Amino acid sequence: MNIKIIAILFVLAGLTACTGQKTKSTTPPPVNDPPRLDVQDDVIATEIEPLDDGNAIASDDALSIYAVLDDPTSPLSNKVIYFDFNQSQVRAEFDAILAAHADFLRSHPDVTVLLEGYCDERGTREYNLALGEKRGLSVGEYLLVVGVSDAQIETVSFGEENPVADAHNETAWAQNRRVHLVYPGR
Amino acid sequence: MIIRLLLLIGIFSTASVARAELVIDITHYVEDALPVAVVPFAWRGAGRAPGDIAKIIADDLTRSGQFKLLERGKMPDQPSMAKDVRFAQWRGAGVDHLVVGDIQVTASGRYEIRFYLFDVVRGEQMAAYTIPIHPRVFRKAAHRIADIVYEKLTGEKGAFDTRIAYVTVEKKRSGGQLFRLKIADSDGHNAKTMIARRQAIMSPAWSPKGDKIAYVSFETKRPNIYIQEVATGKRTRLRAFKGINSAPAWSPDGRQLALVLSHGKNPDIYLYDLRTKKFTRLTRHFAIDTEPVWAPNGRSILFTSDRGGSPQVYEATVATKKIQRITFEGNYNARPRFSADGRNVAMVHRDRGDSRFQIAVLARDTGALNVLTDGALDESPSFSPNGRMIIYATAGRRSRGVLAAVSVDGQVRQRLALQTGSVREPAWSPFSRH
Repeated sequence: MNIKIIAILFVLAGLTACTGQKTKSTTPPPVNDPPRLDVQDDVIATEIEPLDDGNAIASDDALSIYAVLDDPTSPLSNKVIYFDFNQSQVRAEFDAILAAHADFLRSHPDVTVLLEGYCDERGTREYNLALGEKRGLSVGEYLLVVGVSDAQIETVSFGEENPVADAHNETAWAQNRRVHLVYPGR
Repeated sequence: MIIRLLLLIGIFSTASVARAELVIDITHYVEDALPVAVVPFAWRGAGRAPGDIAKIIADDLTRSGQFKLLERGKMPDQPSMAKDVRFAQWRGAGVDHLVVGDIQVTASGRYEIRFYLFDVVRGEQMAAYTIPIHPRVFRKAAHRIADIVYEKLTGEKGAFDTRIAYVTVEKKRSGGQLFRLKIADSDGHNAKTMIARRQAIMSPAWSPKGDKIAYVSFETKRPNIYIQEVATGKRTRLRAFKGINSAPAWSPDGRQLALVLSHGKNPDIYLYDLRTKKFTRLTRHFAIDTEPVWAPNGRSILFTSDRGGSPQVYEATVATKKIQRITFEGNYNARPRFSADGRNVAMVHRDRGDSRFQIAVLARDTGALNVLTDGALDESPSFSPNGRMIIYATAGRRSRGVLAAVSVDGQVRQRLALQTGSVREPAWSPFSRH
C-alpha cells in the first residue's frame, strides 16, 4: 500500500518538475546527460550511464569502443579461451580470437583487460588456484608478445571456484577450464 | 548383527537430524568393536534435565566406529550410583564396559557431573570423576567424558571435545552464491558462522592453540589471506601482493605462517613472521609450489610442486632450504597434511592409469603409501588431533559437496552431510585447552 502511494507521489513530483522547467529560465541540460528516447509502448528506453570522468566526448567514444565487444559478428565477442586438462598453453584454435583482442587493445591504449583464470574441479584447490593463474598469464603472454602493453593487462585466478558447469563429467570440466577476458572499463 | 548395527545407526542418526547442522552417520565399524553401555545419567536438579548427556557420550563413542553401544531398550537396569551396579546383569547383556552417572546442581546454579566407568567382565571400577561446569558448556562436558572413556578403553587420547571448521556454499535464489566459513563441534552441533561472503573462501587453517583461523577470501576480488580470532571475530588481513596470496599454514609454535605468494608471476612458498610481519622466501622455482604444511617438529615444510612434471609432495628443510621429493607412487600427490605425531602424512593421490583422486596416507618411517578412500573426487584431508581419523571432502549426489571421515587404518568410515548446500575444505581443530 505504502509503495503505491510513494510511487504516485514520485510520478506527481516528476510531472511537477517537468512543468517547472518550462516556466523557469531554461538552463541547458548538462553536457553529459544523454538524450532521452521517447517512450513508446513497444520500445524500452534504457538509460545509458555516463562515465565517471564526466567528459561527454570521451563517453561517446567509450560507447562505440565497447560496443564492438558485444557485436556477435566480431571475433571480439568471444571472450573465453578454453584449455586442456592440466595444461596452460593456448591452443592454436584460439589464435584468431586473441589476435583480434590484441588488435583492439593495441588500438586503444587506455583500455585494460582483466584475464580471469579458472580450472575444473579435479585435483586440489590451491594447486588449481596456481594453475588458473598460469592460464591467465599464458593468455597475457600471448598479448604481450604481439605488442599489447603490460600496463593494460591484469591477471587474477579463481582456481576451481565459480564454475560455469556443475556436473562431474568431462563436458562440464571442459567448460570450466578457461580464461575469461573481462573488460572492466565498460 | 548387521541389523542391530543398522538399527543403532538409524536411532542415532535420525535423532540427531533435527539438532545438528552437520549430520554424521557411521557407515563402517571396526571388526572387533567393544561392547559398551552408557546408562542415562540421573538428573538431581529440579525440572527437566538440561540435555541427554548419556546420549551425547554414546553418540561420540558410536561415531568412532570402535564401540558397539547397547540400546536403552535392552538395558537390564538404569543405575546412577556405583553401589547400584550389578555386574552379572550387564555380563548377561553382552556388555564389557559400563558408564553410569548423575548430574547435581550446586547452590550457585552450576552443575556437578559425576560418572563412573566399570569393567563389567572383571567387576571392577576403572575410573570415577567429578566435573563441575557452567550449564552452558554442557555438551562440551559430555564430549570430555567421552574422551576420558575412550582413552581408558583404547589407550589413545580421545578427540570428541574438538571442533571442525569448514566452508559451505549455497546458491542464492537471486543468483550467485553465498560462502560461509563455519565452525561446529566435532559431532556436527553448535555450528557458528565465522564469516559469510558472496565471494569464495578457501583453505581454513587452525592456529596451534585453536584460538585463530587463517583463511583465504576473495572478497576484494583477489585471493588474500586473513587471520580471524575465533572467540571475538576480530580479523586482520595480511599484506596483499599482486597475484596469489594463499595457502596459509601455521608453524607449530604459532609464530609464523608458511604461505604462497606468486607476485603475479609464479607461486612459491614463503614464511611470514607474525610479529615482525616480514616475509622470507623458501622456494625459488619456475614450477608451481603450493600447499605448504609444517612438520610438527618445526624443522621442515612439506609442499606440493609440479617441478618434476606433475604434482608431487616435496620436503624443504627450513634451516638449509634443501628440498627433496618424498612421493614416488602415482602421478598426482598433493595437499599434504601431517598427523600431530609427525608419523603420517595424508594427501590427495591419483594412481597411474586411474582417473580417480583419493585420500592416501604416507607412513614417514617406512615410506609406504596406503590409499584409504574409494571416491573419485576426494580432497582436502585433515587429521583429528589424536591422529586416528581423517576428515575430507568428497562429491555427494547432485553436485553437492559432502564431508566424509575414514580412520587411519581404513576400517572406520563416516559420512557428514550438511542439511542444505554444499560443504568442503574441512579442518579439524587441535585438542581443546582445559
